[in-house]
Amino acid sequence: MSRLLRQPAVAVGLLGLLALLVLVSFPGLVTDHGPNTQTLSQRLVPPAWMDGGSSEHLLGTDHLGRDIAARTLHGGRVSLLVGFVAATAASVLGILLGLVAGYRGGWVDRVVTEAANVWLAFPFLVLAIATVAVVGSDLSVLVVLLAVAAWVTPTAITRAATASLRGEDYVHAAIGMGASDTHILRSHVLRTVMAPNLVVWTLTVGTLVVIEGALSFLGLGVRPPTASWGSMLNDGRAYLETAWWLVAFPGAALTLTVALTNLLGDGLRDALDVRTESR
Amino acid sequence: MSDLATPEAVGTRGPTAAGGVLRSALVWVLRLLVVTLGILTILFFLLRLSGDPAAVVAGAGATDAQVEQVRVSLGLDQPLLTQYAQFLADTARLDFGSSLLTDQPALGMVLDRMPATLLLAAITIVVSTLIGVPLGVLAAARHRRTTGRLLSLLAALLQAVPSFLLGILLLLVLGLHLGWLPTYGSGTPVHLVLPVATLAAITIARIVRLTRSGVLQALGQEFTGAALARGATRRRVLWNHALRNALVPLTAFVTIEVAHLISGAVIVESLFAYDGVGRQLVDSIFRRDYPVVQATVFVIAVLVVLISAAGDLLLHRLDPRMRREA
Repeated sequence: MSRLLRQPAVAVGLLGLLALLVLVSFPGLVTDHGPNTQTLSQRLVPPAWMDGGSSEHLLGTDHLGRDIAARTLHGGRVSLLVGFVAATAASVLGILLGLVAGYRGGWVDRVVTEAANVWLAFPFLVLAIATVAVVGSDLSVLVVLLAVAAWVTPTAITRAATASLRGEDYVHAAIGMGASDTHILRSHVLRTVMAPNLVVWTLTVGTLVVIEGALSFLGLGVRPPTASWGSMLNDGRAYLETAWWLVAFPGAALTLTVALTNLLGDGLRDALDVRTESR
Repeated sequence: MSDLATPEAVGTRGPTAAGGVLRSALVWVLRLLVVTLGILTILFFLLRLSGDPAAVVAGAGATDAQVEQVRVSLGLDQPLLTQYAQFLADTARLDFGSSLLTDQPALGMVLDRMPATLLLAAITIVVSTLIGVPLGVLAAARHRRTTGRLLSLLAALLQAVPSFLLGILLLLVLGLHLGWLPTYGSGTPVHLVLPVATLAAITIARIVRLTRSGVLQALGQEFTGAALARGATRRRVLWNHALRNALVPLTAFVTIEVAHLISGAVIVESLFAYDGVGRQLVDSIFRRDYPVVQATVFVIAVLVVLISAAGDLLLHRLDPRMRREA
């Protein structure tokens, strides 16, 4: 762990994400306002440091007089929660499928590989949009959709690593000594596939936060008035010329989150010296 | 925009090694069937489970009798499986019915809009490749110097900006503040600038990173050192020997990216009110115009699979290893 933290990219990425998580979990640290409290007398108030801004609303207010700081932090809850939970679900699913496919080989392997190939040719965003439009979107629908969206990469990486370990002498030795399949997978294989999967998981969180943002941006994410970065950007579009702060802060938060997960993922990849290519 | 098929995952999608091109083509025909059938089945059941299409078609003020009449005329009174069989039979004849709003054939509406979307995707890919590949080679050649580091940093940063955010920023700066470009609409070449710039920025960033790592990897190997020792110029080694090494992952990436651009155009088209299939899809969803939704998803699915197949065949030709590997 300390070896990992000595890598600047890992340290910065990890600390940044932790800070973000703390802020998002305790919005009270920054603002006392609720995310959906409307003060119609205080609409489109600019950020505190600008002319006409007030210390009451640090980052200003939107067209309904809602506090931008509060909405950005509360919106981050949704984005990060969905991103983390869905990426974790995708990783768990991917690791299980990859282990079985890579270790068993044969028809199981062929089915999983072919399913992955088919999935990569699937226009996911279109399907997600259609699904959300039809069944409606609450958090659980979003999480399931995004988890399904991201299962291929962890599966492919785990499968490739497992298949190559399967041929190693020490695995043959373990089999020869009568170790059960589950024992071999758990104590020899799983340990090795965790490192590349950690990298993939980190990068997936960022990707899924963006997709959640895109769906919310199209008006197909969590339902209003619940704040989310994507829906705030969508709301702010109409006031682009006069009130840039409506899009600037959720936009910056979203970009920062993705940049941090990318930084952490790339840093981990270098530090753990893993290849995440599956070939 | 969705970048779920990261370059990391591209490896799985290589051609099925054994049996050559013919077999590979056969596999792709099967995949085409599985993908389109799968996506249509999901859509069919989602649409039927999510409420009463008859009530939607009949309109808000319809009486119970009118709704019932629509139900019978649409065949919605039949058992679900009968409806499903009918739906598949219609699809096989490419009959998706008519738009619930305009009464035009749904498939025709989608095909009318398709050229605009394809144009957007094609220009984006060409522009991105023309800009991204040279920058990637440059970033690799200068990887220890400021130019190279700056390029890598810039690419990493650009990759973190979601397309819808970048689109808003470009709209704000180039369209509204400077007033150089039209902010919405389609039809003339200038209308393409902002959507293409939005889509291309992220694609360029990915191409730069991919090219850089491919070229760097080649520069670390013996064959480039050997070429230099034989007296080849550094420039020649870089552009001929090293770049060729990056060509296979690049081709794999570009085909996946074209497919993504077509489905990902949904966001950019909505943002810039560009008249392509993506915007029509979103509009149809909000208007509950299901025939158009189904036709759009069908056409996009078929296109995406065909493009993946074409890329697969291209890879076969590019990389001799894939032909030999059995």
